[in-house]
This record gives sequence, structure tokens and C-alpha cells, in this order.
Amino acid sequence: MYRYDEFDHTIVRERVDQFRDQVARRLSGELTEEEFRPLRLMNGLYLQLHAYMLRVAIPYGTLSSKQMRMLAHIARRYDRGYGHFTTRQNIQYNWPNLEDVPDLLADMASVEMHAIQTSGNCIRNVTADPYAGVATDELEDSRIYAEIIRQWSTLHPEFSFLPRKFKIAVSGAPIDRAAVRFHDIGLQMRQNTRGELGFGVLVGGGQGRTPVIAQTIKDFLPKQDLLSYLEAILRVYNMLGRRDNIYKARIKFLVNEIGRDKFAALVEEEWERIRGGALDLHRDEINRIRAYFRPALYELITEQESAYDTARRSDREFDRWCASNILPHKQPGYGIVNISLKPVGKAPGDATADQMDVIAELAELYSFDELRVTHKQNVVLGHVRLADLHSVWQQLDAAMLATANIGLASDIIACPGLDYCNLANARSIPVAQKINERFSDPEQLARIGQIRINISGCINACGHHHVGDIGILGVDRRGEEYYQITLGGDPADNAAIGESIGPSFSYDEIVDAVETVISTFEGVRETGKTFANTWRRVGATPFKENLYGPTRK
Amino acid sequence: MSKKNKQKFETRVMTANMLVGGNVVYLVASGNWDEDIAGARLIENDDELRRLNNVAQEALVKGIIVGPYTIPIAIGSPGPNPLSKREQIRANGPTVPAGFSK
Ligand code: SF4
Repeated sequence: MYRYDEFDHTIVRERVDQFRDQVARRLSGELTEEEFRPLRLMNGLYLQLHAYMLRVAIPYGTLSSKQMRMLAHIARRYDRGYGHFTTRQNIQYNWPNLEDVPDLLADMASVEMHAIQTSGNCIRNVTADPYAGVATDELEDSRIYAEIIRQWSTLHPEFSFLPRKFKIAVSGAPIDRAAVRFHDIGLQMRQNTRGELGFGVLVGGGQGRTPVIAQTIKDFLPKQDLLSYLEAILRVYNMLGRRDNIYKARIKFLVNEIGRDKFAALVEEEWERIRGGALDLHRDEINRIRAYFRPALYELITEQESAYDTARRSDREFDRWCASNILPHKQPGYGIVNISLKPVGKAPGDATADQMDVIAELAELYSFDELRVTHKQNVVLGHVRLADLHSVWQQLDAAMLATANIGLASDIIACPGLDYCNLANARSIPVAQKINERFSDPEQLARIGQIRINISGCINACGHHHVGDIGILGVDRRGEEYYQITLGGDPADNAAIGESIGPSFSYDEIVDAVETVISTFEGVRETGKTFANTWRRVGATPFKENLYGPTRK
Repeated sequence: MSKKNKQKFETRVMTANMLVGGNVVYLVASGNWDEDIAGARLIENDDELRRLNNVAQEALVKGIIVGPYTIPIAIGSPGPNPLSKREQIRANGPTVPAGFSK
């Protein structure tokens, strides 16, 4: 894992001191709310429906056990004993007091964490493949480059006041698990004909009220040119992006307005001016960062993991959990463990302080002291020996963390919605809970198979509804909660934006409507096909007919 | 805020968040801010609205509260009931259990 250098430590410490002073001045009346608001937002502190909310950055979702324990401590000491993991691989606390936030941030800083650039029109937390460094198909660990980008973008003076917020995702594998097509910039690692590694560069993707799939502006960018090229993109955007209309300020509108080719040409022009200069990434520098992400010292495992096989054969529940939550690891004898934060009856992505401690402990004992938060709001233990899995599972189970549903119908992405969020139209969490309850039978879940159900409480799309197989969007109809269903979205290689299927449903109708969609799918599916395959084959008609009757178009 | 006298005045209450705790509060009859909407002072005409706006402005300047605004309510048996779902949730807290704890 990356460790702060002196420079990192200093800026984070100075920022805490500065914010402490700002809070004191606000409380003494020296600063008005108008003056203070932008300052608190620069430190990740929002005012939500019921309280302040603090968003803490988890760079590319990776944490050490020590950091996870600190997250637990903060939940206990400054909040109500829990935290909410978000779709941007961050964590949010829903109830801190303004007075306490400087101390909270000082505690965070002691484990190299902060809330800088989690709000505002700057480059936000860089996200990466949650299986970086352990996936079987990977070309290289994407976190190396996410970390290089993090260092370059942190407090970058030129890009602190962009037209709008800016999100970058990096994938180091040919299969996209970082949704690179739905970010302002997506970087997809690939190999050129000479066998060298570099990046395909995509720009202008995003969700929100105007969802757009990113377009490629460069097929192959050599690694050493990564930062100069990113700088060129950001410069063009910073110069030409709209600042007069917040709804048209993201880079996607600029790319759309002037066209991809023109945009790419402008970037190329700027890049020609600055490439080969100070931003060139030398091999030594890449190696220096790579060393932080050096593969764990795996044991060489040659014989069959007979204990693991026996446990799977004899323990049905364990077997089920392995089938849905364990992925193959690049190292024989190891597995990638997905810990579901979506048990029945709980808010997707929430974890109590005690659960965080359990996860930290397991990571320390069984997974080289490292864990990851996924954009699906789950947690990953990157490298667990198959022989240890049964024990890990039992300990997770005792902490209500062994739900076997990764990628299945009850593994729902949901934003905080109207239960917490100031911008919401409708609740997301109870809808997710009701769907989760409806689809809690393991046999049924297995039968339905891989499906993404994503819920956002408003058009800002934090719950990624546009890219759900089934997307659910909360809308407001005269103060009442209604829900719009979209079908056929896909965040990855077959990127697609979900298609709205018809009039919206009330809070009391929405779960039945989702069930109708799923039973329709089961009725028309061919053996072994997923929802996504089936949608592409049959289209909207059968779903519309079953939801609205045969006459409705 | 109806200008025409003919139009019926929609009964409202004044709400805000406390500066320090961020918690939701309502302006009550004593002029204090309280978490319980039951005691919120009803605003039933334009004069009252103006008066309470001034009270809220003062509290804002003094750094007691942030973001004051008024919300339409219906009078229920225990007290004022916000009309919109959003304000009902603000008044009563999240409708879901906090975190994983029961
Ligand atoms: S999608 Fe809307 S309701 Fe949900 S968290 Fe984002 S802004 Fe809030």
C-alpha cells in the first residue's frame, strides 16, 4: 500500500489546522455561513437533511487494517456507530457535530486519511478496479497509476476551480470493472503491437441528469506520457468548459458540443507543447510507486486444498457463499473474498463500527493487512488462502457479514436518498430493503443469476441507476415519492444507458413492478442467459406489456 | 406567500438546522429553536410570516442556526404535520434503522 511521504503528511496536517481555525471563526461569529460554506465543502463537510455529513476519501478504495480500525473509531467516537460506504469508494459519516470535525480530521490524518477534494469543482477521488493486483486477467495493478494521478491532482493549483467536478477511473485489465466509460476520463490499460503497456484514453462519460458514454480520444497512450496527456485534457476543459450553466459544465457537454475529433485535436495540440517536460513519468518514478503495491508474499501452494473442498462439500451454506462471493485469484490456492454489505433489512453500504473492526481483523490475519471498498458498496479481502476460507466465513457470519449475494438480485446499489440526502426526491434505502427481502431466497437468487439493480433518489444518479440492468430513479410528483424504471443499462464493456420503460410507480407499487420485470425475464430467458443477454435479445416489449398491459406503448 | 388576499394563507412553520449540531429544529412559541415540531409556532398570515422571518434572520446572524425557511403543514392531532414527504422525514428522522444495528 502507498505510504505518505513527508510532503503528504505536511499538507494534510496543515489542512487540519487551517480547518480548525476556520471552524473556530465560524463558531465565534467571525465568519458568516456564506463565507464558511465553501470552506467546509473543501473539507468534505456537507449539511444534509438531518445533520452534517462528512465524506472521507479512500484513494482507489484501498485501506489497511489500521485505517479501517480508525474508520470504526470515528464512527463510535464522533458519529452514531456506523458509516456508509459509497459508490465512489469513499465513506460518509451521517451525524458529526461541527465542533468535533477538526478533531475527527486530526484522527484521520494520523492514519494518512483526509477529506480533501471530496467535494467541489476539482479532481475527485480517483477510482480503480476493486480487484486490482489480484485479478486473473490483469495486465498491471491499476492502483499504481491511480496513485500517480492522485499525487499529481492533489491540490493541483491550476485545477482547483474547474468548471465542475471531475472524476477519473483506471482499469488495468481488459475486462472493465471500473466503469471507465462513465467517468470524465477513463483509462483502460492495453498492450500495443510491440508488447508495451499503455492506456486507451476515454473522455466525456458520466451519469447524472445527462448520461453519456465516454468516447476514445487516444487508442494508445504510452505510460510515461500519462500525466502530460491528462494535464492537456484538463487544460482544454478548464479553458473551454462552460461556467455559466452548472447543468452543462461537465466535460461531456464540451466534448459533445465541439465533437470528439475537435476535442482530441485540441488536446493533442496542448500535449505537443508540454510533453517531454517535467510531467514525464520516468521508469524510476513508476517503479518507486509500484513498490508500494508489490504483490504479497504468497505461499506456494501445490497440493489440492482438500480442507476447502471438504468444507464446501459438507457445508451447504458455505458452499453457496463461495459460489457467489469468491472469485478466482491470480495466485493458485488463493481466492478474492467479497464481503457483502447488503444483508436483508439493512441499508446497502452501511457498516457498524464493530463490523469494521471484524473486517480489519480478518484482513490483518488472512489477507496481508489490506482491503478494498468497491463501487458496488461492498468490501473485498484481496487475498485469502482457500484453506482459510471456511474459518473466515464463520467469523464473517458471526458479524452478519456473510450474505451470499454478490452480483445477485439482492446486491443492490442504492444512494442515501431521501432518508439522508438534501437533494433527494424519494427514498432509496427502504426500496432496496424491500427488494432485498422479496429476493432473499437463495435458490431463487441463484436461479435469477447475475443482475444489477441500482437505485438513485434523484437525477444526480449517485446510485448509478442508468447502468443497472434494472435502474430505479426517484422522482417527485407533487411532494409524493415516485419511481421511474429503466432497463438495459450496463457499466462495462458493453456500455449502455438504461432505457426508460414507461410511467413511474408509487412507493407502494415499485417493488411489485421490479418483481414483474424479473418474472418477465425468467419467462423469456433462454437457459443459462443473464438478464443483460436477454434484454439485448428481446428488447422492451415483453417488459412493457407485463408492466402496463398489452395496449400501452 | 400569497399577495392576493382572496387566496387562503397556507399555514406554515419555520425550520432550520442548528449551526453546531446540524440537527433539524423548528421555531417555537417562546422564540427558541426546538427539535420537536409539535411545539412549532404556526404562521397563519403575512404579518406573522414577516415577524418570524426577522426572528430567524437574527438567529442566523447570531450563529445559532443555518438555512432557515418555512414549510407548509397540516394541523394534526399531535401537532403540525409537514405536507411533503421530505419535510416529514426531516421532522421524524430517517425511516430506516441506522446502520446495521437494530
Ligand atoms: S442520487 Fe440524488 S438523492 Fe441520491 S445521493 Fe445523489 S444527490 Fe442524493
